[in-house]
Amino acid sequence: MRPLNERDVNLWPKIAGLVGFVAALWAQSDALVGVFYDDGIYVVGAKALAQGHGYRNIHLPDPLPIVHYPFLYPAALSLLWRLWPAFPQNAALFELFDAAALGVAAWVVASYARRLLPPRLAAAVVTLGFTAFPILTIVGMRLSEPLFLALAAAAILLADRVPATARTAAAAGALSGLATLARSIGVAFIAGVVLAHVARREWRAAAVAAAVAAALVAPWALWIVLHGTVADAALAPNYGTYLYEIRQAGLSAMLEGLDLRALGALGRLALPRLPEPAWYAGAAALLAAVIVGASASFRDAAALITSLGLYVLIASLWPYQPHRFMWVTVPWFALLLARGCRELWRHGRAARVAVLLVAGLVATGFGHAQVASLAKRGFELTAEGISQSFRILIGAVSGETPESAVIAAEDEALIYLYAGRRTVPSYVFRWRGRGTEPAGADSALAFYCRAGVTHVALTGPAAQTAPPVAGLLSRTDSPLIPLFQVTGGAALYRLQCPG
Amino acid sequence: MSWLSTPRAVFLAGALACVIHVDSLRNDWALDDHPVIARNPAAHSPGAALAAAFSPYWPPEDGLSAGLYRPLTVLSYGVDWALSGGRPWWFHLVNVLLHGAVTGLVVLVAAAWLPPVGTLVAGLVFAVHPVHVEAVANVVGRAELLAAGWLLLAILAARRYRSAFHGSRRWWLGLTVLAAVAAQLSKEHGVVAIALLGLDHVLERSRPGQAPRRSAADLYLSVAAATIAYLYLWQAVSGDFVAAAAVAPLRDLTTTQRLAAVLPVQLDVLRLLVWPWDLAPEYGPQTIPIRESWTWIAALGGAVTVAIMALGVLVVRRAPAVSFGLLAAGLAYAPTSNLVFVSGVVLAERALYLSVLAPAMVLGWLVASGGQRQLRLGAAGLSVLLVVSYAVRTVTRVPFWRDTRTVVVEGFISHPESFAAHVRLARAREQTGDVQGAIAQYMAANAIYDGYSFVPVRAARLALGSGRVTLARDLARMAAATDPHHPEVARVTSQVLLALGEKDSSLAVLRNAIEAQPLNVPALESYVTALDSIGAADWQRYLAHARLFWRRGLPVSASAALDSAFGRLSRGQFSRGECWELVQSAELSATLNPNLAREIETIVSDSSSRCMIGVK
Repeated sequence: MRPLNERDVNLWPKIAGLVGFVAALWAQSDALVGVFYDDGIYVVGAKALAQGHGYRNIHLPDPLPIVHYPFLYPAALSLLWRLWPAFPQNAALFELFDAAALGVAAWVVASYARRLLPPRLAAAVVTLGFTAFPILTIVGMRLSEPLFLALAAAAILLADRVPATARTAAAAGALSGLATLARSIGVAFIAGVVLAHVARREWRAAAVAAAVAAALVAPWALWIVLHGTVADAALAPNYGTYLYEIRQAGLSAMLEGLDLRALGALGRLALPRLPEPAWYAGAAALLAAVIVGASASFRDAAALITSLGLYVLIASLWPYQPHRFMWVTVPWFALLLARGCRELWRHGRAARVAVLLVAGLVATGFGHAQVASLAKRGFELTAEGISQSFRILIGAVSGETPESAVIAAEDEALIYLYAGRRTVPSYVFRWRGRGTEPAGADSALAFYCRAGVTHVALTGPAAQTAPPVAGLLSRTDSPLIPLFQVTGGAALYRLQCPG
Repeated sequence: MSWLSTPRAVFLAGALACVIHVDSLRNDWALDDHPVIARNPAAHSPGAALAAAFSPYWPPEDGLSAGLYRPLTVLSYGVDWALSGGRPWWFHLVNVLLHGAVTGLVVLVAAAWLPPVGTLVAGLVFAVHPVHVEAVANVVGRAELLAAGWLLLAILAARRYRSAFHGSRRWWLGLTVLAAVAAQLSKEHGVVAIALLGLDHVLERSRPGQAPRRSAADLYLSVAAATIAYLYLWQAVSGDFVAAAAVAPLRDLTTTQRLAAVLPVQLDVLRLLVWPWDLAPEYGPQTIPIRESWTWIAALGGAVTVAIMALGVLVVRRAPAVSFGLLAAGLAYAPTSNLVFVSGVVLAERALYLSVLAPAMVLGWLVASGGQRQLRLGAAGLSVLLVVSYAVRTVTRVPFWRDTRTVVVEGFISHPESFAAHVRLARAREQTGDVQGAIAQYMAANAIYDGYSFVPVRAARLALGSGRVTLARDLARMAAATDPHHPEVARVTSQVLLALGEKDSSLAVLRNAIEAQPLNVPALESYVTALDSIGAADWQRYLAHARLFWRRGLPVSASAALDSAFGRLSRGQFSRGECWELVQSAELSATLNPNLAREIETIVSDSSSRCMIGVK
């Protein structure tokens, strides 16, 4: 293979970026916006900003300020909404934006990866990482991850540039701050950028990066402080601040995450299904290879390693399922794994056998799932499946309820976006430990009546809302009047509040 | 000709291009100008055009999407309208000036390989070529002019990019990408920008005094990304590219049949580029006969096409201008050639606008190439002869596009074999209230080409409206022979049969259409209307309404209609049509009303109900 000149070295990351962009466009499905819940809220936020309502949950009868989801991604979408105000047709622009963000992220990560791996290998690993099915699943929805990835990747690229200047430190701080305004977990990257400078004893750069990031994030923090109180306890779990969740879940629930369980999500992606002891052995080997890669890279990639470590810690501690949080890290962990395998390869026959073992496991686990997912577009199946029931409900709500109707629904933002009716969440719950506890039928009914709900929509008997609805329906003086019910599927009820 | 420089050649060719088309300023709106500009609110101000930036080119009011997306062209109309108050002469003036500008750009592009005299000849040929009249003298040809201009500008910018050094390279890269995107947003065939840039890059080596080739990977990656983004947006805006508007004679053919049909057309393309004396506003059947089986003409068309493209490749080093002209012409024509996919036209003069680069470059090279003096003189004589001939034909052709009436009448006179000419005449007669004349023209059109069901459907409607039911039945049969399951065919056939008192047959036609296309809402609507009008049993009407509501996405109404049907359905003997109704409703009943579904199942499995006969 001929040696690469500088031109080729610069070319490969751009090719990786283009491939990422094209793959992201290819991954777009016909699924409805809002089936993953967060995507609906983001687009509602974009609509609210574009229409001059401020950053508010305009789908709620009482349009509370949005404090749960940082505003950068909705703000970006709101500009596109202004260009093309017709929803859902304008979702095509959002899709293009997300795809472009993912392409930029792939380009930046591949540029960065040259410090860890030879250029062609770096580009290949990054391309594989950015076309991995979890990434395609995410980019197929209107989620903030692609924008976050692009910003975080650029922050790391600048933070690990040596020697640091005030300008690069400020830019890295700004980008990590913007990443935090795209996804709250981006604070890991602010800390990672600052700590990387500290580790290199670049005190001034660390201070500059921290100050710039803080200056960018501070207004958002102030917004949360000013608007974070949600009076109705039934809305607070979904519409309150993260602090509310932590308080309800309890500190002990978070501390359970100190086992870094978020890494397990990556292990399940990478490894095939094996008997438990074998799976743990494989996971240990995989983790060891990643750790070797991280150790070998630390001198050149301090910001990346630190940020990723903190990111995994937060994702583990947080009382949510960590899967989606970890999916966006696939390209970076793929890089570290490749680097680790490359390092181990130089350390004799036993190490090479271990590398081949790890490669074989990843090929049969992730490789098999990847091929199957790409061949059958498996990455869109979940969203498509959820969309089926909602399509029926949207028709019923938009065509057969009065404009003044207030609908209680799962994925309430979705119903609002497509049917144009005010909505509230139908699933009333509270955090308990690392899970949620549904409210009883009486509490749900009380909330519905408090919120002025006129109709309750249900996607099916397996929905979280189904038990309280079934409880209400079984009453002799049921407040719910069935309007239609698909056998084993969606249903719409008219609500008549007692008294 | 030492006085002749490239700027002078640009001026002379551009000026001639304007002068030769100046009579078009007297033209009014013609044909598509009406729906796309005169009646289109989006084309009446820049603000409206920007507000409609994500709408298909054809206004939705006209019921045509045609899969086209040209927001920049619509914006140019909006600007023109704001400046002129909607006066057609202004629009024509802008078209003429744009043609002059594009001609100037052709000269500049040619200047890379040809001396000024060669570029002048190339420019003059491009300026006066009669194939351009449709694009210049009919306002909607603006899309061609803009797309061609942007494509040529992209080529020139890319040349500067490749020769520039660090600082300015980025600007030229940006300009190239911008021009490529602008070409795409002006007309869909701007997607060939990347191929044209690549062609020019390859030919760069043959340019005298050219520095060694430099990398242009950034440029290609950027243009590729922009093109992919444009294609994505185009599909999002217009649905399914041009598939919905794919030209009917080619739409349902296999690839082999299509090639057999379109390869002969390549000979017409060649004729239009070399000797465009006989021009037509439309080249569908039977201006161009459509042959679905292989003929020697298809073989000849294929051979000539391959030979011309091969010549373009073979002379890359010896005559890069010729190579560029032939290959760029092929690339520019490719999207509408129907060779790779079916486009919206069999052939159109406007689609050959940029393909005139082929004769222009060939003649320019012949005149300018070294060689014997006699040869050069001969080439010069030929060029003069052609330019004069082309100019005469262009001047005489411009008034053809005076207004719609002129195009319809003159088009009919010059090409009475044209299906489209008869349809246009029929529509014109319809508008004047001449129903009989319109029906006659529709029938004549159908006799020329019977692949469009809308023609006999329209005629049948007119016949039915004027009380000629028997004629309407014959016309409906013609329509059914073309496209038996089209909802409009089924609808008009049903109406005719109803007028003849054949109620069962009327319903049967609609049932067949529904069975053939279960998701077809218009057929279901017609069926429900027919059931209502003949006074069918309540339960039957409720079931049909339920299916229609469900298809319209109204499950509450569908559920209520099924409940009503359930309350009125009693066991007994059922006619064949009633059994069909039950069977058709079984699936929806299982979805929304299991009790009704069980009842239907009982009925259709009960031999005494006679429905077992009707169940497949």
